[in-house]
Amino acid sequence: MKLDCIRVLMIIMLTTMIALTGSVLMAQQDKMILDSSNASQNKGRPAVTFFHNRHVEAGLDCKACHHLYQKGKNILDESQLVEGNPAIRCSQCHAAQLRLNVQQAFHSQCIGCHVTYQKEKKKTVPRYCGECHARK
Amino acid sequence: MYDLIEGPFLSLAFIIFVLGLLYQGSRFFQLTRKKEWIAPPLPGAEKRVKKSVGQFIIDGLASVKGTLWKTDPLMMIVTSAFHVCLILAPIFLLAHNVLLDQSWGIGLWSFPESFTDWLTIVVLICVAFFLMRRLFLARVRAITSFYDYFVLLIAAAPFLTGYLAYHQWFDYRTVMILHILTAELMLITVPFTKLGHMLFFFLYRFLIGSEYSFTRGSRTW
Repeated sequence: MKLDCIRVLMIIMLTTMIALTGSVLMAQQDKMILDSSNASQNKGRPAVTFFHNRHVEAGLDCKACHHLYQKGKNILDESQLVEGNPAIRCSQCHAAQLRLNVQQAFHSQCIGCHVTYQKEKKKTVPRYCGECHARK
Repeated sequence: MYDLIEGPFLSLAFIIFVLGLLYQGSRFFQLTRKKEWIAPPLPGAEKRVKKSVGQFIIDGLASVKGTLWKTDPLMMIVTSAFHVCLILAPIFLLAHNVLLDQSWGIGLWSFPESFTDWLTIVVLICVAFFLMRRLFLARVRAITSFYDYFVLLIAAAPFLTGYLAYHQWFDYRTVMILHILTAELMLITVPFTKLGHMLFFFLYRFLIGSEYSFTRGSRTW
């Protein structure tokens, strides 16, 4: 009987946590290392440390970045966005031999958004090479 | 601030650079337009003496005696290394080409960054050499004014700030802004200072040279 109580309590706590944070996706690690040195010709810049939570906290929709375009429409199913799912990795589509390879894709998406964001919101976000490709 | 130095300032710098060079080039040709003679009596120009390959090489080596190779070989090596690295480094720099690709969709091939880093170091060492020469060599100091130091600084500043930016020393953002500003200053000053030898070198070296050999001097210098 006592054990059951603890179980129920734990389930309640978990549900509350998920409810409070919005989704399971938020619970993933904040710091990610984006290292495409194998995917594209790497000529020396250090890998990028990407803070996922900061982008969620900034109020960005998942599909603002994650995408699967078909006829100009983002048809990505958000339930696919779980950690470890190989199908949602950027390099899955942005292959090294393509014009829009992983390096190009990251540059366009990150810099493109940061430049407009800074213009519109008047907030300072990384925009020069070394601010993302930071040396430790 | 960023929008200003990366937007209007940059365009303005490039426009001044290109128009300035066009203006100086056209002025160069306008000032020398008056013909000195129509058929200059250059002796021996009609009769080409046929040389053997060996003689050609010997003559070529002998003519080196009249150049910096003979009078100041160290300066000749340093200045050559300086100019080669100065031109190669920014053109084949990875970060420049990535930015170019981002905005125009075209980017040149780039050197690995560790290599451009060395090119930059060579440029900076050569600048230090030129500075030392101006400061400590009596015959050079005698003809050096503030203007010469200023021009040397303009040429060196984009490379110094670029080096600092690459290694992310000091405050990165400040260094980057300085890098962009100093490069813009360099573009603007090229047509109107002695940095104009970027264009005039080719005119002096090849046009004037050919005027006195192949094309038989039809301009007034």
